[in-house]
Amino acid sequence: MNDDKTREQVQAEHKTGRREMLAGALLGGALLARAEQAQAADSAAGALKPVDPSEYIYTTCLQCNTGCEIKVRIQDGLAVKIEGSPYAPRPMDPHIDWNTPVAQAVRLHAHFCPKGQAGIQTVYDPYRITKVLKRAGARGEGKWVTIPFDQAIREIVEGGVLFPQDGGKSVEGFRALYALKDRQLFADMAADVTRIRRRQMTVEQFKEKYRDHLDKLIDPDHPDFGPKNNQFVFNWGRLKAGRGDFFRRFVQSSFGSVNAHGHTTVCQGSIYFAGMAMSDAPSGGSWTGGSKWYWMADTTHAEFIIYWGANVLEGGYGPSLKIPKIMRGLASGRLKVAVIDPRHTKLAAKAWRWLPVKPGEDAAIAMAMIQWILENERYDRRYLENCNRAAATADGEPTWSNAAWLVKIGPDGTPGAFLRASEIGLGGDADTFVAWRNGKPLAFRSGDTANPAEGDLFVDTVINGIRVKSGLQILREEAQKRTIHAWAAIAGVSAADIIALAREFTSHGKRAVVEIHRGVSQHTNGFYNSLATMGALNTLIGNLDWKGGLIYGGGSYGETGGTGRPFQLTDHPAALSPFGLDIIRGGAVYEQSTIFNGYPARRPWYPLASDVYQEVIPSAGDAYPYPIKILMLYMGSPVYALPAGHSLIPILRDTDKIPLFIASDIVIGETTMYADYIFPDLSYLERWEFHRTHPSIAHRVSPVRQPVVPSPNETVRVYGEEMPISMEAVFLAIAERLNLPGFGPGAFAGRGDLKRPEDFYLRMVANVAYGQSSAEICPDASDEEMAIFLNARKHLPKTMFDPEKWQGIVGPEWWRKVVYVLNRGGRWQPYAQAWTGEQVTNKYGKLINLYLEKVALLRDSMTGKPLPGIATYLPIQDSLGRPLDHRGAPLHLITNRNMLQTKSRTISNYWLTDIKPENFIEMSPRDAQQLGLKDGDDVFVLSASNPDAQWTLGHGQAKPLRGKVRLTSRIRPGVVTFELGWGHWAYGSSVQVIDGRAIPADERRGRGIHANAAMDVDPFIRSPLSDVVGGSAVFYDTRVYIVKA
Amino acid sequence: MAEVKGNQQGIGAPPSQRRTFMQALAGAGAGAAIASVGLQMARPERAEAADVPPPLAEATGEALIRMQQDLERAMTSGRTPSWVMVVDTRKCVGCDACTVACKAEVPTGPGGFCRRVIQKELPIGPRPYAVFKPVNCLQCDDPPCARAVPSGMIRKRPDGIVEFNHIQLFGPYARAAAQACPWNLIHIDQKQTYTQDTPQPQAYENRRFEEYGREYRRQGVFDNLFERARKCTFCAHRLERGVLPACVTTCVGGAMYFGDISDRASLIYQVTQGRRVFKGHENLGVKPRVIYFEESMPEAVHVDCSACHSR
Repeated sequence: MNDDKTREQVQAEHKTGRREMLAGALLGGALLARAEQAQAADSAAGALKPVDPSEYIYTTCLQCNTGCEIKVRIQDGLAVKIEGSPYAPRPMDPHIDWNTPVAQAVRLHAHFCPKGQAGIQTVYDPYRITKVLKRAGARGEGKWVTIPFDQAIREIVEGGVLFPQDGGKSVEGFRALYALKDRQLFADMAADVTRIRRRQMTVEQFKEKYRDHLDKLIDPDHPDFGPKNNQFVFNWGRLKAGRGDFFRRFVQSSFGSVNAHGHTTVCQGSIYFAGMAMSDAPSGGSWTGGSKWYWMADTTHAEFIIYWGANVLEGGYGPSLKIPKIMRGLASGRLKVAVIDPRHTKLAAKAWRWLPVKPGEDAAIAMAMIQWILENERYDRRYLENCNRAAATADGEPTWSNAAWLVKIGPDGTPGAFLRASEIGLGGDADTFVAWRNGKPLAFRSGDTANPAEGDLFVDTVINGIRVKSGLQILREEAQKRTIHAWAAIAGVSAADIIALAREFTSHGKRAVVEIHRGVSQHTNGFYNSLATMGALNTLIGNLDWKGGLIYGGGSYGETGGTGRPFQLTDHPAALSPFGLDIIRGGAVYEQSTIFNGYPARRPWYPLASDVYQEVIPSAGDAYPYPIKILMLYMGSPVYALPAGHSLIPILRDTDKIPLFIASDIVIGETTMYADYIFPDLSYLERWEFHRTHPSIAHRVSPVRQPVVPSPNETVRVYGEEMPISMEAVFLAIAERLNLPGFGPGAFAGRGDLKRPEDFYLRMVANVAYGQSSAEICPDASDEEMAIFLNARKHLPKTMFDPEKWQGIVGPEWWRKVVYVLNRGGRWQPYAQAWTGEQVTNKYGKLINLYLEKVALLRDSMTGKPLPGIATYLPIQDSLGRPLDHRGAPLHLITNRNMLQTKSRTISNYWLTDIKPENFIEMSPRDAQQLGLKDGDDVFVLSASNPDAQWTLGHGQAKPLRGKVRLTSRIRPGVVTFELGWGHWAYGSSVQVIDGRAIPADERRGRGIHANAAMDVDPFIRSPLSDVVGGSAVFYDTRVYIVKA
Repeated sequence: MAEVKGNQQGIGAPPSQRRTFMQALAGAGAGAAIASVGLQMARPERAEAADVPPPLAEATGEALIRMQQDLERAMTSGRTPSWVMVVDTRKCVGCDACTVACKAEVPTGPGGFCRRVIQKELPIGPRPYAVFKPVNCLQCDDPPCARAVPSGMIRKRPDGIVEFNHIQLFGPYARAAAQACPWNLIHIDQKQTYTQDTPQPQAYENRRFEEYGREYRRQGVFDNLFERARKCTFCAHRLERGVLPACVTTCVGGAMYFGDISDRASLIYQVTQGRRVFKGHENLGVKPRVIYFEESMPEAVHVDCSACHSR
């Protein structure tokens, strides 16, 4: 279960006697003597005071995206203290048996980070809104009136002249956009749009076929835009499963819009989409699309981890999960770490080596390491030679790569598609590939379980006149484009350090890992940085799915349904299949569209990405590919969170570009301040959600978020049901008014109603109670546990907790099992089951792409050039492939996480700001001296993108980019940083007028600096600089001037 | 395949995993192909000096369970426990989870902390170096605060906790106690809350809580702690319920240990045997019950107390 000594061994070592001799420094003697004296003096009580288990409700934190499982103590109806839950792997290592009675676990509390502990203050925030706000002035002017929920719903559904102050402008509501409703028409049109893309049908033919329905399309001359329904755009910030499934049911299955977009690219976008490309599988001559996921280290067992652009002692999913394992590993000697980061992070302070990489030059280090590993033959040859599943299985490997697959080389030397066996007369189908072995080509299929295929690793030859190279040969050529010393010079680190890392990395078998995070991905070259680091380096040692190696995470328990589960949440009487280009052109190929107009495209197309947060609003601003009518924003603050988020403000303020802007929030935030309507939402302690997992969690996990405290929000009535205002209530109410299928009575196609949130979420809990198979169905809650469950929720109103209603939703067969799950706050695989022998139990278990055919066959929509299909070094460049022009700005601006704040939403936590009231512009003493700056100086941050050094908010309001200098030796000279989470200008830090009454501001919430507005605006697309391949929003490639105020 | 036990030879020895990895390969049917793996199995370098105490065996979760069981045993044995808290600063990451947990567990006002984590950047020669040092009342056996006020106002409990008499110890006496603490670990409660001047003062800030066996509310009419001296109480109200102190359970680095030092079967006893401790707090003769391991407090830090403890 753990890798360290047994207790007996430790005691034996303590008894060697050597330590006993250290005079004066010994703990035991003096203190023990005093303790023994005290014994005699007093008689202690012999009993423990009781702890009532029904004082606690177990749920899931949301103070960051880690989602640690917690228990919340309720006292007098208030949440007063939060603890880590011992049942789950995020807070507890190893976690306790799931079947431990709740009463027995009540005294055991587990690890939990500072933000989590402060969560009470997110819930009990003086600036929370509890009624619907409608803007009373212009957008962003800060004037609001509260209106009844029913009125708000009527207005946003029916539209009309909703804002007299806008001068008679009529706004289209949901009803006007609900144009296409017929399920069959949806399916037929979608299929024909695909034919148009494949040049199997013309636009004219389409228009003729659907001549009676052209008014339902956004633009009949461009059927690939899809129906008017697509002009409703739903964009979210922090949204997890359960709620996500509920919302997408509305947006996609019931309303029929294709535009449901998350925020992925502001986080680690390019890592996810590199992972998606790496996990692609061949199918029908093409590729299945892979999974939007990635890999991280098996921290429990690894012996050597390179934390690369990963600030793991402050963030990185997450503190309670990883830090205990890392610190214990370091203290015991099991683990050694290296850190690659422009900053000397807290982990660098405890690391074996720190490489102070120049921001964005990560691929240079990776190329050097790859070159050294290949030259010195320190890769896992046997792993890389395996071409298919059969060969991998024969070697006991759970995965295999395409390192030895042969790639066709074009006349100009550019690698293209894989060679197919049929092209050289070896037969097979479109998924039969070729390797080179024993001097001749070898045909194979990737998934073949019977015929092992192994190939030579470094192949550069001609077969039947076709020039081919192996994937690994192509990688080697990329790595050898420069010498190791030249790569080191580009990265600004020493070649000796790079070689030391490469040697160490290949000295631990499969128990070495490269773990990356935003420092690698949030650059214009983030996609390729990720391929070079997380992809190529780990693949070279074949550590995927091995204990101590690279793992994919243990997944979750099928919360939305599947084989055997009691409820299928996708049951729907008439689910629509949305079609057409989405507003960010995600998963779409420019050359296939009806608006192809040569290069550059007006804005980037993202065939390999989705959820491109920095494209939603700017694309609406350019009406590209089409104009939108309704933007709905949930729990997100793109203006604050994005780099160069200030470039979104003029678009949000423009009622022509975004005619109706609806927001869901718990306060008036930096982005929602520009909304037309703000619907108050439930805080994380008042609602349902299913947080699922992360790549670094080896166990199968299903944490549940459930109501813990009464919501302060106004109670409303929808489908005859009373509930506090929430995002669910909004969608239910719109659905009720529009009579949308899939909501209300009969929503689950004869298998139940969806009239209130619990109708959806309790069914999901029942699925969790089922487990992975009928053998795993959980026990019924005992009478004692049922009593605890009911008593713990006595303080909740009927609008949030109604046990009879709840029992009716899941039925008597599942009710006590649902209670069993809810009493523990979820379900987690038993600790020991995460590993089987030398490997993880929950495996990735298939092909990993070193060479990416799908990518190689795509063109950059801005330059028209083919995309490289393998890890490579790319310099930082703008969307047109040009170097960035920073007008001589000398200092490289980056940001970093501090565990005390998370993005935009923790400034309300006064306990946290009491510890750290403000952040600083942190720079090295050398840079400060050159600029004539001292510690504590007031400075402005200017850039070519923002020479005015301010957030221009509208209405003459501005927040200067002004902060204080702090000198630190723990950063690479030439680089300056600031911590994210401070520098607010809304969120209670500025006055807002509601119903004519000015709500005073709290200046504690406005301290510090948020220098995102200094970050690069791409000169061509006039919105945040981006990685146009992987989608990442770029935080770290800007240069700035720091000027004394 | 055999379950791998991992590194059991301590520091400096080759990982035993290597051999088992080879065995696993053999077991998987690679036959004589082991030599062709190509991965060089070099000896990992160990930079630390040989004179480092042996590693602590338990995973942090196991340590929590063990300490919680030790606690229940201590509270039900009929003997008086002797509480000691240990901070293994090697594992502190300066996250302040303990600071916030303490504040949430026992309400205090703005600027009032019963626990803090001192973070200092101290360049040691050319290398940057960072020290993270959680601090709270040391529950001294010879407390300077008690010497500064009339007898009876501050009592040393048999279990080691230093107890303030909130009825007598107020105003000038409370301030005298606070000023007497060499490490500034006592603060005076001014009855302020974080949300009192905001649009909606929040009820949680005025919730009931226990301190030294009595119930208070920070803005209660008769049961507030205005002008009282506040400090860490080793979470006595949790101990008597068999629950470990808040800073101990919440610690993300696993740096905290707590228990009855007089119980030789306890984890706190075992982790402290034969360990070098930081002597900075011992030097004033206060006999502290909060112990810091020495490994991550190098000589350069020891020199001057004000490095960590300036007022």
